[in-house]
Amino acid sequence: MKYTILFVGMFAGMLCLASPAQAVTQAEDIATTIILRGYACGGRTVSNISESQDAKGNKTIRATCPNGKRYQIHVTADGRVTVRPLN
Amino acid sequence: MMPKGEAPNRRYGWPLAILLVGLLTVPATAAWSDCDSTDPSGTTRQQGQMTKTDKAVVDAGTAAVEAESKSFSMDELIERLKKSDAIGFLTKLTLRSDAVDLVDMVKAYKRDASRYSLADLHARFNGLLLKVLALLNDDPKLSKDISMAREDIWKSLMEVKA
Repeated sequence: MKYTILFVGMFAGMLCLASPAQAVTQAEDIATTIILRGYACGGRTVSNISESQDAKGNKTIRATCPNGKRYQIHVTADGRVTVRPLN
Repeated sequence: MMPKGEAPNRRYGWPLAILLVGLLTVPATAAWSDCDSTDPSGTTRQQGQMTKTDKAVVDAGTAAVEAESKSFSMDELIERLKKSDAIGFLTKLTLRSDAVDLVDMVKAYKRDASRYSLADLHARFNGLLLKVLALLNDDPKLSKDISMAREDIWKSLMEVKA
């Protein structure tokens, strides 16, 4: 019985993989934000993502682009987004 | 009389068949979508089949006809944009920041027309709309609707009070 459930689960998983519409990953989302702000990234995803949030609700994200450049994305509590290169 | 070793195969025969069908379906679906999106020359397509480019041309033609009769609800478009999976959350926030900046520019223009020209505002609006449309590559219906509502969006932007 447990094998049957396992197989059905795997089949359902494969159907999900086959669906054409896929949500954007966080790494892609960050890379798109960097590119939208006019900075070179050298690819559509980023790596080494780190996040922090202060007491006021402002969020800081740091990530490295495929071209080796590291960026800091600052999101204020009211939703304003700014990007700053770190190196 | 069946040997003892064959019993498990018979027992798990149908789940294995489902698994096999699943394995065959996934590459076929992936190959189909690849063929659909990355066929620039159209050399391998059969006669009568439409490529994405052909469909886009046909859609653009019908869109021009529909645009005259269809009116768009701004709230509905914004809601659909918010819910779209084609754009990530952070990217949506970035676009929202740009839109807020543009609205501030329009307000400043209405208070003091010498600060920005209408051409500057229109250029900035077109740039922002182009970004949105480029990002909505995976949501062609919404992209088409926003593209068709371009003039309505511009008009509503110009109605913003200073």
